[in-house]
Amino acid sequence: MAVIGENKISKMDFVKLGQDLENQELEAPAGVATPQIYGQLLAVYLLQNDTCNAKFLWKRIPTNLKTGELSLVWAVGQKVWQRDHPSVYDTLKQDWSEDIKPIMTALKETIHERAFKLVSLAYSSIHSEDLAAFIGLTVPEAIQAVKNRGWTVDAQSKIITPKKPEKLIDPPLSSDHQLSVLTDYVSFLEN
Amino acid sequence: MKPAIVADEMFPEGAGPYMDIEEAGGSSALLMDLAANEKSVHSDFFNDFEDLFDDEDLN
Amino acid sequence: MASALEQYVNTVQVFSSQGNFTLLCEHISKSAETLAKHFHHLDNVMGTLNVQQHSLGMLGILCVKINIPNIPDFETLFVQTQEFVNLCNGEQIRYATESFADLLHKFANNLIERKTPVRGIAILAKGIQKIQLFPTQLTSIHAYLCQLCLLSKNMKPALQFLDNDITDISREGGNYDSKDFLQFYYYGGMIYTALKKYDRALYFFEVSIATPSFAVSHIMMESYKKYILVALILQGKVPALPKYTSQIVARYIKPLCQAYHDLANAYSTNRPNDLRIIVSKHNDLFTRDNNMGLVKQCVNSLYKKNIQRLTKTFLTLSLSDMANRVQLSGPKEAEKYVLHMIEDGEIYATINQKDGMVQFHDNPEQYDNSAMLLSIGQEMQKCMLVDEKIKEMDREITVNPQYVQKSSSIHDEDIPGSIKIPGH
Repeated sequence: MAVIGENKISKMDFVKLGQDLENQELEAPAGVATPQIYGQLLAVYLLQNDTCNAKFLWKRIPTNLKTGELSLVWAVGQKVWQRDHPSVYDTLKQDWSEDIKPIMTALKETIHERAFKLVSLAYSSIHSEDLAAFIGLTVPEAIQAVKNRGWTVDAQSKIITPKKPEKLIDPPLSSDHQLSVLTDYVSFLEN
Repeated sequence: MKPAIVADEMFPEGAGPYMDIEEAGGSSALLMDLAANEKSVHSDFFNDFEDLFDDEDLN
Repeated sequence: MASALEQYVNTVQVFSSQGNFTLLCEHISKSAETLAKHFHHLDNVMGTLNVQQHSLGMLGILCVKINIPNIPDFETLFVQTQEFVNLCNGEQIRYATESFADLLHKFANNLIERKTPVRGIAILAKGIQKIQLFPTQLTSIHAYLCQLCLLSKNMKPALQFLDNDITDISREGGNYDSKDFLQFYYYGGMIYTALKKYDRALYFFEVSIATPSFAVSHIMMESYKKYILVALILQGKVPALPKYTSQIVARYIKPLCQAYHDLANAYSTNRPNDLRIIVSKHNDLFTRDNNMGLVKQCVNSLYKKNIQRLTKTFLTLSLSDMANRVQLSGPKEAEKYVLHMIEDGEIYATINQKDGMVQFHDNPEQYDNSAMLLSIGQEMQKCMLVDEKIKEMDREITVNPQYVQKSSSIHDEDIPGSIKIPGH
């Protein structure tokens, strides 16, 4: 059974964890895995924003196991599927067991970051209540958080102007690589 | 130079007994006619999967 | 042990050590009846064989066991099959691909009957890898694996096989059937649809529909229905089928799918109310076809398509104006739609809540960065590989005796008095 270490869990660990859990599910005796395996895998899919596979995982879990903590994880999943941000944060407020706490914590952070990115991409101006709902904070907390990111807030109307997402720095391509690729093209076209 | 043969020229005998262009009648008549004359195949293929594409069904 | 069984074991051991697998296969086929007569002792016989050295011998026994009506002890057979597939010698098995495939088909069917399809997934996946000569070869087991995945609602394990473009079909002793082919593409299309990979799904359904045919296949017909729905969701219209699609589709299959055509026609009016009328009218039929979920996705996609059309006419638009034009309930709903479309990369826009306006943008991609260059490079690599592959297949056909005979005889018929150029 997969055991998760307490502290720094990198993204790669979650990918590997997911693969292990998937294999465990397929090898499970009589085709039924344990609630722990289902719960962890469901949480990993949500963390990876793989809502389709999360949904099908929930659907194939035997009905008698769809209780307790597992059903609480899916409560989060339902809200993620429906893109209902305020409710996602509500459903995340649980006392998660040690099995899935690291994953659910990472999930909350990821959703929070995703929300910030989406708002900065999609909105040229947004009311602070709406923003607060997006990122799961109170209005004063939200205003502070955006100020920390260099976004501007109109003191009177409380309307927030997000900073546009940073343009990614173009990684340079080696000229050797370019040359070899061009050589491939030329020889292909000549044949 | 290669003679250009296309896939449908590999069957010069034509489409065989299945292509009766004179069939008339609506959809169900067509299907009945086809089934009765064994012009349809794979009618028993497994397709009983329940609806997997309902975005509102999260149970 | 009965002497007939002892003889079987002996023959298996001798032929296996000699590497005489073709003869061994013949012998095993002839022994099927004998083995069946002694089915109570088959487990003992298996015990005397080595799964790797005597893979064919074991396969022969497992095939007999799986064909017994009302299998007495399925659990044992399950474990035996699982172990066999994991450990058997692939080289030996490839002398009897049809039997191996048949074993896995019946195995899958047994699991389906017992309502535990998920148990067969890993085993069938392993089985495919054992008999495939290379990863782009299609076997009859592929379709069964997809069926198990769909039934157990566990789609991911099929992807490693679905994501490889097929370039060859395993003959399986002549047993490979069109049904296996069509089912692979239909079930595969369904798996991609379930995972919302619509363009790959559309391609798979298209392959099924465009298969050369002289009869109406119900699999092709169901593929056609889903093709229409997925096309509407993905592209907002139903593209023309390839030119090489059989006439059967236009003449027989299309008229049998009238409700779906009605839906596509209503969709093309861009009016959600017209669409909803058709959906209501054919509700029972869509539900019976298990396509209602897709139909609902179509309705949803019409709103998105109409919003996308607005970008062609407007630079900015108020959310309430948008809601009116697109027939949504109000500015809040319009904002939700636009936000989701931005998130999914289906529109380039920004929402200005202060003014309640949406501003539409062009695609910010300037095609001037190395990420784009890399991506174009990858696409070109794929094109070059496909070109290679086609040239290779073309070469193989040119030297195919049937083709040579046909092409030279047509020349003689059609062009009297022509000079026959040797070697062409």
